[in-house]
Amino acid sequence: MLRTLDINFCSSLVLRFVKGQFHEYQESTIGAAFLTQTICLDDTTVKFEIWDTAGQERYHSLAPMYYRGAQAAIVVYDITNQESFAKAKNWVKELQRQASPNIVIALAGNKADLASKRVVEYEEAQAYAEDNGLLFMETSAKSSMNVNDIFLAIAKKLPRSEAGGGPAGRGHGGVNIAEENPQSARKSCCS
Amino acid sequence: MDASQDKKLRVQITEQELLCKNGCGFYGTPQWNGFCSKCWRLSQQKKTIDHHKNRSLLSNTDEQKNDSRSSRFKSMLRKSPSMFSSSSPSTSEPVQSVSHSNSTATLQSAASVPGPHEKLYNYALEYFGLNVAKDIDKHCRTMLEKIFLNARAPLDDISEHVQAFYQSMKEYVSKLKLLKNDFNQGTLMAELEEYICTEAYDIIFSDRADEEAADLSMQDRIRSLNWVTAGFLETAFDFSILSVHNYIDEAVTYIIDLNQYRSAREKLNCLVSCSKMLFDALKESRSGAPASADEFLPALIYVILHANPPLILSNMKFISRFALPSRVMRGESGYYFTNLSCALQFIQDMNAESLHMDKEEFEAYTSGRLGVPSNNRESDRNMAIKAMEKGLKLFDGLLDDQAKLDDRITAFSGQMEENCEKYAEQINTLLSEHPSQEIKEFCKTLRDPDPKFVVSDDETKSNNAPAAMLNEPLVDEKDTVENEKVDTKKQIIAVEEKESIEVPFVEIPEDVSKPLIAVTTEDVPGEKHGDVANESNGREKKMSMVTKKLLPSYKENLISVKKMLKIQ
Repeated sequence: MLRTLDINFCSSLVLRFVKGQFHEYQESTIGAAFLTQTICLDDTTVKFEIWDTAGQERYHSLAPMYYRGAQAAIVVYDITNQESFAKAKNWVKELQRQASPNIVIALAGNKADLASKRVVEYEEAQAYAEDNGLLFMETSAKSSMNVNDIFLAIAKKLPRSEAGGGPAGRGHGGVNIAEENPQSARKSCCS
Repeated sequence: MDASQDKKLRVQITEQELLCKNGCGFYGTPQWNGFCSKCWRLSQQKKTIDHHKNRSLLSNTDEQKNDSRSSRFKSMLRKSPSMFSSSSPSTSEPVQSVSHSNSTATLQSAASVPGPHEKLYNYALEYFGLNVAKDIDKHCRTMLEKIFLNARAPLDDISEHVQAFYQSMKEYVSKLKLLKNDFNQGTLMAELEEYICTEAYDIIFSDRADEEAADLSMQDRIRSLNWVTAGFLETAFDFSILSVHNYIDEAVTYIIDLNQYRSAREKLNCLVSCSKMLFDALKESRSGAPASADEFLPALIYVILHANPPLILSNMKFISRFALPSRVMRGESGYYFTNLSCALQFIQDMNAESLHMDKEEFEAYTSGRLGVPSNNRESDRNMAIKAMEKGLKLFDGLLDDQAKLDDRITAFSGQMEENCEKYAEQINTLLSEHPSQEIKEFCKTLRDPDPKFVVSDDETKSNNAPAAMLNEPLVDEKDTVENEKVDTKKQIIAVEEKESIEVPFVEIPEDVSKPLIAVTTEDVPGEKHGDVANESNGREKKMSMVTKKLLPSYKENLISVKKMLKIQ
């Protein structure tokens, strides 16, 4: 899940990740809403499925439908915008409360290339991330700084899930959903 | 797997339950839900009739049914104008039973017509050999029979069994020995899913009263909210582009088609195609920028409101109950399915707040008390109006241009007259103040030797100066454009020459040429006498440019001057 105030920057972060550096595998180019990307980590492959969720306030109540069953979420804020950092914190709270318990949450401070306009200090965000057990990086979709790294860090942190670790069923009592590919990771992105 | 399922399916038999439930005195069996064979047959017949009634009420596989359905909707609307109406449809309404293949018939026909059953069988045969293929087939048939026997069981329970069946089949297949290496478990499972869905469709596609009511109330709600499509969703569509309309129309077709397919896979394919059309439309509208979920979700909501797809809730439930979990939880189809769920949820909960508008306004639009403002309407009709407005604007622009042109023409002709008067005046003063000799010499420099000049020489002597001047321009008239330019230059040179001799008269030829320049190059700097020589080169150039531009008018000017002189 990618969360940011600036709509374009969320999509651009994902697009940068999918199209910018990792050329090995590319599936869907139709929009920035649903993207897949396979990366190699050591000797395993991790397939990212990136789900984007509508970020407008009026669709906020629908967000749980997207992150239900997600294994990782990236919450993005804008380092030049204090309000976006506050909103990001709310998203983290919501994810910790409502998403699956072993979800990997990453916090990304985007627009790191605009350091002169910075209002959210690096230390402040890092301290917050540490307190809440989040992955934290400052990224720039423009210069692609840390974009791959944050996805790699997520891939490393994901549990090498066995069949049982997959997302829970959609209300079918007792149905166990096995993963076709044990390394598959799902992310939703909400911008 | 069978052990666990049988536990759930088996009816606990007690002494009392051994007898037929109907109380006819015969023994019943658990397989027939505790009925005896005779009572079971009767109850099944009754069920089939009920089933047909429900099916024909809802299914829209042919036009006639569609009509009867929509008219029923209308009557419902009349009965309950409230948008929140959830009144269950009156099942007592007499409905013609339509020929509809019942479940057992489909099962039998499946063997003769190549369909999902054959495909599954052949696929299994190819990779696992005859025995396994037969085994898989047997498992499927057992599952289907169970579904048919428990046709009236809650759909969620059936779903649970089917999902357990998928799971156990997956485990079963993964333990088998492969005949070929390129086996894809996903393909086999997809065939299996399609087989089960298609065969059992009539039973597992919800025809239960409560879900039917939910569908109808959803359809009602969408109808009452149709006005929202008129610009209140803030979609990123650019409705002025024709191809965007076409893409949206395609998307609408796909989402309506979704209802007519019998397997979860085909239904989801429709949804994916619909979504791709929307992405195309958004891409077109945003001049090539790929759309994110921020644009996609409103677009999907727009299309659902616009299309009002039949039985959409039932279709959604069907997919989530009987599709392979990998389809609805993961991948492209999973993502779009999640979006569909979100869109329907949003429509269900839509209120004034979620549209950022006044509560009263929202209710007024919903109840139809208030028409939607036409400038918000993103419809085809609006397109036509827009095109007309565009045309009118163009016309207005043209009229304006014409009026301006008219003004300029009048102004120009006014200036011309002024110029002519000035010319005449100056020539007159020139003639009256400097008769004979001056002009004679001036003319000599211009036309030397000129036989006509000799004639006019006498005339000038007798103070008939206008006649002399009359001759000069007459020659001009015969001359080509080039000559005329040369003439102007000559005049200037002559002026300079005169300047050196007689200073007081310098002003005069300058003044003559000034108004000419003023017509085109608005500000000619006032020349000082001393600079004239220096500036004459630049002026010459300017003059030649000006004359090129103004040659026609200059000629006219000359002619009119001549005329005026004649009159004088």
